[in-house]
Amino acid sequence: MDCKFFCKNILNFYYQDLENKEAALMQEHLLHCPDCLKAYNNIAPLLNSAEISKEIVPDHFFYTRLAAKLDRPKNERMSYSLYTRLAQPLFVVCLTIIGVFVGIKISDGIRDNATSLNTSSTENQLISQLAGEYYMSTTKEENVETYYLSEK
Amino acid sequence: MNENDLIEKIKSKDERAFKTFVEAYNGMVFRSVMSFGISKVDAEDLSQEVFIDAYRNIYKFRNESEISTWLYRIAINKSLNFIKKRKKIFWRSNDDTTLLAKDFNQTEDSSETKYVNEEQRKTLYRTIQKLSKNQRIAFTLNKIENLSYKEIAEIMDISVSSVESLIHRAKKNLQTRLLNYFK
Repeated sequence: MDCKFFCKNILNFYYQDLENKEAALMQEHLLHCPDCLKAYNNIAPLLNSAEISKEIVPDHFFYTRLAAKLDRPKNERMSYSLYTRLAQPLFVVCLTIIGVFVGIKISDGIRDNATSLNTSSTENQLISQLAGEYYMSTTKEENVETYYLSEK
Repeated sequence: MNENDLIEKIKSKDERAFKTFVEAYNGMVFRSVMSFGISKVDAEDLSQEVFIDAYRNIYKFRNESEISTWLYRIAINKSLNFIKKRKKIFWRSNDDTTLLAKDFNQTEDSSETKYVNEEQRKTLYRTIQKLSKNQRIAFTLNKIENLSYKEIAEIMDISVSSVESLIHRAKKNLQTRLLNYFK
């Protein structure tokens, strides 16, 4: 037996899919060929690691979680995903648009109030200015008696 | 209670019978899903979906094959659909290993040995994932789940000779890849 034949049948040898005669020859070759022994020693633990997977079991609460899912109506998940995918983003978009619109309206209202306040304060200022000017002009007026006396 | 009685009771929506059924087959379904390289969390979700589908469609089961064959078929279809959807295989993390290999953990292995075992298993599953879909299914069911060619033929809905051919090619491809990996 040569190394080429051994490498071609290494998995068959591991899984014991060879006939007895061939398996014996492979076994014998392993004892005399360090390269093939190394290759086999690399591959065998890898294949053996799958054996550990056979011990895998879900935990004790598997049925509890399954029963909880089983109680739900069949189309609940579908409707939930439809809600998540369409209705929820649409709702958020609408809410944002309404929020922006309301915000604009509120800011407009505030601006109008501020303008009207400004207008009324300007009027008041004008009135008080005129009143001041009138007062000043009246106080500066010459006394009638003084006027007549001076005329004479 | 034999299997037929159990199935009849599940058909009449007996929850206790369904619980017995789940407890009998959850390991098998879980392992077959995980053998596709799917993470523990996703494998549990998928396994639950397998049982939910089985419970809701049990009336379609006509005792023409073993119930395990029927469950395997659902599990394989679900796993393949999952992989197709995600287009990504979620490899089990080291945390998963500690949670999953319960009996294995009970042995007095050092953390280094556990790490080495986990790495070896990951390498093996990665190499298996590189096989074609049918080769992967046939190889996994035969060499990891220890199913006979006849059972695999029923699950995959192909002839026994096709299964033999798939497993032969899978072994050949896997062997080449593993030898190249260690070169």
